[in-house]
Amino acid sequence: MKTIAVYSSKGGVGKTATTVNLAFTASRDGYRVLLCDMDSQGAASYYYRIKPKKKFNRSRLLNGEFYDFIRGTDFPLLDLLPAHFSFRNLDIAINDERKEEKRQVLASLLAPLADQYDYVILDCPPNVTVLSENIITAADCVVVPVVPTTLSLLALEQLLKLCKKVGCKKKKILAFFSMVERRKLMHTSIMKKYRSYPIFMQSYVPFMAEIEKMGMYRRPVGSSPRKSVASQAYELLWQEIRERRLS
Amino acid sequence: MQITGLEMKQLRKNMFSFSHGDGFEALLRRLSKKFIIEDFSHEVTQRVYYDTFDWRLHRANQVFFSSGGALHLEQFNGQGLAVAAGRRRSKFFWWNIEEGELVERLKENIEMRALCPIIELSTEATQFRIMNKDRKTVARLAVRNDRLGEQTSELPELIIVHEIRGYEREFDGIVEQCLKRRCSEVKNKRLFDRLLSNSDLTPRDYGAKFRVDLDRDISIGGAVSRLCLHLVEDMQKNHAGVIADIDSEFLHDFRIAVRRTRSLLSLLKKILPEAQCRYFQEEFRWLGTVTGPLRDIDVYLLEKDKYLTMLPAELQDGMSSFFEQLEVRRNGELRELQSHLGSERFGNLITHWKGFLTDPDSELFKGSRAQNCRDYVDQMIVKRFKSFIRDGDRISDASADDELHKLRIKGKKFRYLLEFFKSFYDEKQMSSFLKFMKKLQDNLGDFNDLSVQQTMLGAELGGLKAKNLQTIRFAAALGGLIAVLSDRHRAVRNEFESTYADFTRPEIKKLLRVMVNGSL
Repeated sequence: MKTIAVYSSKGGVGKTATTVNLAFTASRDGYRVLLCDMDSQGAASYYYRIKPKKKFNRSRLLNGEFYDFIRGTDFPLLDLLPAHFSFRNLDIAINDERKEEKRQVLASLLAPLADQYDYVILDCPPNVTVLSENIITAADCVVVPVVPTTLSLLALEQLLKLCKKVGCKKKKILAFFSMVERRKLMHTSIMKKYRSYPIFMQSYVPFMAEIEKMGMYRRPVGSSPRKSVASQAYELLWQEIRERRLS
Repeated sequence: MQITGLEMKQLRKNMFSFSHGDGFEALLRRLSKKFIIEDFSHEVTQRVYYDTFDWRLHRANQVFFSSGGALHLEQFNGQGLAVAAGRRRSKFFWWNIEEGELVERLKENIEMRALCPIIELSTEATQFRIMNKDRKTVARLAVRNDRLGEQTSELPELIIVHEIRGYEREFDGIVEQCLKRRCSEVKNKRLFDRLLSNSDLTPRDYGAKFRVDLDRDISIGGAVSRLCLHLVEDMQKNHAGVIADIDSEFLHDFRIAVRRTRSLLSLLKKILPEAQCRYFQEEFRWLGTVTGPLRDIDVYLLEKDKYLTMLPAELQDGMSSFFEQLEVRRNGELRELQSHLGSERFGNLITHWKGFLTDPDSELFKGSRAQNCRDYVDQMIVKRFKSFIRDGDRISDASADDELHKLRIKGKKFRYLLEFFKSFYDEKQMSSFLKFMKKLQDNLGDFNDLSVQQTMLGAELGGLKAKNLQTIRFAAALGGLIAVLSDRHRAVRNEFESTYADFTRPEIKKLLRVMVNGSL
């Protein structure tokens, strides 16, 4: 089992859209996938029309009693652990753990799933907390959506620093340009400058109404019978992630 | 924090069948009060299931079928084992399928046997999503109608409820609704079992293993009748497969049944009515003779790869024309055999033989044949074993090869005798004795096969005229093979002494003595 975290400390860069679509693409390739919605806003759960069961909360997650709360999506091989409102304080709860185990909490929780799933994909909240440290530690690969803007690049730089702090290899991190608008000069010039950096993937995801409309239709872009530009972009992204970090 | 040993719940799949016509529609109407129901797929599919004549896949708990341009191998419980591209055919050998996991798995079980169609299935299935008010699927429902082959009547309509992880309550609710509506739950969820029980097939109704259970107080005539009717049935079961040339094993099994029949006639010739016994011995000898040439060629063709690997790469090419010629010769021999097996002589033999075995006024059931079989067989086993040991003890390093061949034939007859009447004896003791016997016979059998092969290849070599490079290459390959076979022949001969000594250990003699309550 490989764990992929889709993470950025900056909000609005397309993390959830990426998680939802990567998870769908991987499952359609025949892999058993679990999407963990770690963001208390629950957007990934919403896209898949999944609500948490009443008895689910943060404590159950941290006590390792979350397996009965995993729910099947409408798509074969793709399950989802829904977010819960109490996840907003997940970092505080993790902070109460013993110091030496603090960064391993998430990794320990996910380890027993190894026989059940080929990939666990984490949708992460946009902040820099002990939860972020946990996510980076647990992940085999951290996928970072970067809108071609200065602030988004700053968030990537921040992540690299965090990585160094927790003692993780920089190689884990794979960035890609997200919500790219070709008509914007800043987008094209930033992409031109940074795209050749090894940390960046060649695949990118354009800004598209179809992706925005996921909130309306509540399903991944690839699930409609017609193959769209957006679904192809996520397919290429998934292939590149697999080739570069997961093979 | 350390969490280990996670066992996620297996998703449930319950099946139901309604005893009344509109049951499913009524169920949907009831469910639609609580859920949104949407049919999302309607399919008509065709499947052809295959197995070998002796049910080799069924014996391995496996199912092979073609469907929609693909060939599938599954376990009985529906778990997929391997898939390959391929369309339906009148028969499949493993070498007709593209290389890959499917071939590897198949050849392990079916070896040289052909997979033939056993069931043709046509299925019409509609799938429904059962959704909550958020239009999230909380369960899946399928209704399927299966039709077998040309049959006009369908199997009972089947309703299948699939659980979706995390929506146990909804699944339980739907199952409850099904049960409330007078539909019966189908406990056996294996599709293939359902198909078999609705067909006129009897799985594993044929196998190469010989077993006839005889009553302890059966007469000699009665026992001969039971045993030989079983054997003649085997011949008849394989007859069509030999004629249609489905695979080599139909003929092989046919010949074994003939050989066993001849052996029984020979073992009991002193007690069987003389004139009839002579007639049937003569006719079954004829049947053995006319089926021989094709089987001899089959043996070479089946061992083709083995022969080639015996030779160094540079000599292998020389053998290819030999195998091509064999294929041509095989066609001629097959035509010949087909005419023998369709002849009046064959038809008469089977009719007369069955009459002799079943007619209450038959000589078979009169005179000394009416005496108890078990007592007679006890004596015969003791006598035959002693005679076998006497001949075996006489064999030394200096003995001629012919002595070993004679011992092999005697041994084979003795083993058949034990197999015919094994139901008289303790099963465990008998199978243990037969196991020891088989070890010795394998050695003698290998020795004989190697002799025959060398002779045949030698005759082939003797008939060659060096007219071109191709012939010279073939001669070189034959020479190479004969040399390898000769080495093996010697090695097998050298192993005889220890194998025989192993078989004649006092405890094995004791085992036989205990079995037949006799003195050895």
